[in-house]
Amino acid sequence: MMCRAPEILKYNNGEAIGSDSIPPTLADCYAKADLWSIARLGYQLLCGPSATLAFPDNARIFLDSELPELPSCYSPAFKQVLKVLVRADPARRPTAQYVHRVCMCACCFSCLYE
Amino acid sequence: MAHGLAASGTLPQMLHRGRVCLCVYHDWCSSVGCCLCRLAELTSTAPLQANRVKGQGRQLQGANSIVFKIRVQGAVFALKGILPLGQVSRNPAAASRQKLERNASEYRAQIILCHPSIARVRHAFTGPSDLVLPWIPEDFFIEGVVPWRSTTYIVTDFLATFESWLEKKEAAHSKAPFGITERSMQLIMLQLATAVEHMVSNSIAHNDLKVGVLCMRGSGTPSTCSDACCAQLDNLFLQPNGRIVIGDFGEASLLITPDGAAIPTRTHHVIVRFSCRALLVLGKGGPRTDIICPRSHTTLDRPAEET
Repeated sequence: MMCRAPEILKYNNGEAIGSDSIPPTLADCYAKADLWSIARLGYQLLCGPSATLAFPDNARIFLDSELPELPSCYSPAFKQVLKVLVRADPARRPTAQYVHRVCMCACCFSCLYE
Repeated sequence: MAHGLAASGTLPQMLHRGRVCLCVYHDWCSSVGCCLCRLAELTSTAPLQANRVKGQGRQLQGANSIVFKIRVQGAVFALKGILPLGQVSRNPAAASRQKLERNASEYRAQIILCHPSIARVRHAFTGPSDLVLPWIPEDFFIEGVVPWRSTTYIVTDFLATFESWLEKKEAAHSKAPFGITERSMQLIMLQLATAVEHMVSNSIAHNDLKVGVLCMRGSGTPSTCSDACCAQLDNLFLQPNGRIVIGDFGEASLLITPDGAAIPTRTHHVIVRFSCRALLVLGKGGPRTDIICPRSHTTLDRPAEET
């Protein structure tokens, strides 16, 4: 069972990708798919089986409204990062550079607080 | 599964006889003496011990490859043999070349990427497919599929799977299924995000980042999946120092051509071609035209074959 980013599933199905335009290159289609996979991994590790059910396999394209609730023990800011990374529209996801900076800042600040 | 060849024991010498170095930096590394060439010397002088890798009671077999554990003078590596299967072709030589070239794209992508969170390819070579063929399940040989005589082998570091880390993780954080704290998850995401950032900057997409956890069968509690029915294998590994490493670039895609040009999507091709044909028939797109030409193609050149 493989679970892939919505834009890859759409691309494989021959559908238009993005909210209102067609990406002209393969890079536009695949550039943020790995980030989506990282966020899905985060959901799986933090939510457990409910996340596995929420993220379907190749048969169906995942929708934003189907997101499982993350446990309340995690901070709202951290949960928001995961939420924006699994958005179905890649154009509405942050870049890898942005995620790198956010995680770096979070790790540094949590070190300071400890 | 047929077991015609004993895959445990000494690696067949024919593997060495048929070896061709596919290192993309061969000209450079042969003069400098990089790790790939050092390993090549070792493999030619010392016999390799190939043992079938078994983890959690299952064999490490993906959809495209079979992994063996090998020893080279005490050091442990993973030998990944790409499944040598292909469709029947009228031109076997050309099809074989295409197959090898497609297999080569995996380790080429991995060699381009030099990052601490991306598994390093130590060596890659072509060789007889006899080592891999006996381990391919019989249901892979559907009608029209034939085995190739040679296949691509990739040697990488042998690393523990990310699953093993999760299994050892104690449930210190009672509300989280795997006892992962926010800080642990931030560190995991930080390492993966840096690796993905590096891949994006090199125009490579992995396309298959996953971890073989959370099987929903059985008790319903999160557990690592060891069932053959849930063919979810780890593509994340752990170095001895605890760093997460991304491996298995079998599904990776290069997002630009070797000369740096962007690759258009198939959808793009279809729509440009269709809109060109339609606008040629209609004369010119008007306000009622439902076919939209992508922004990058504002001017329409009449294709030669349509004149």
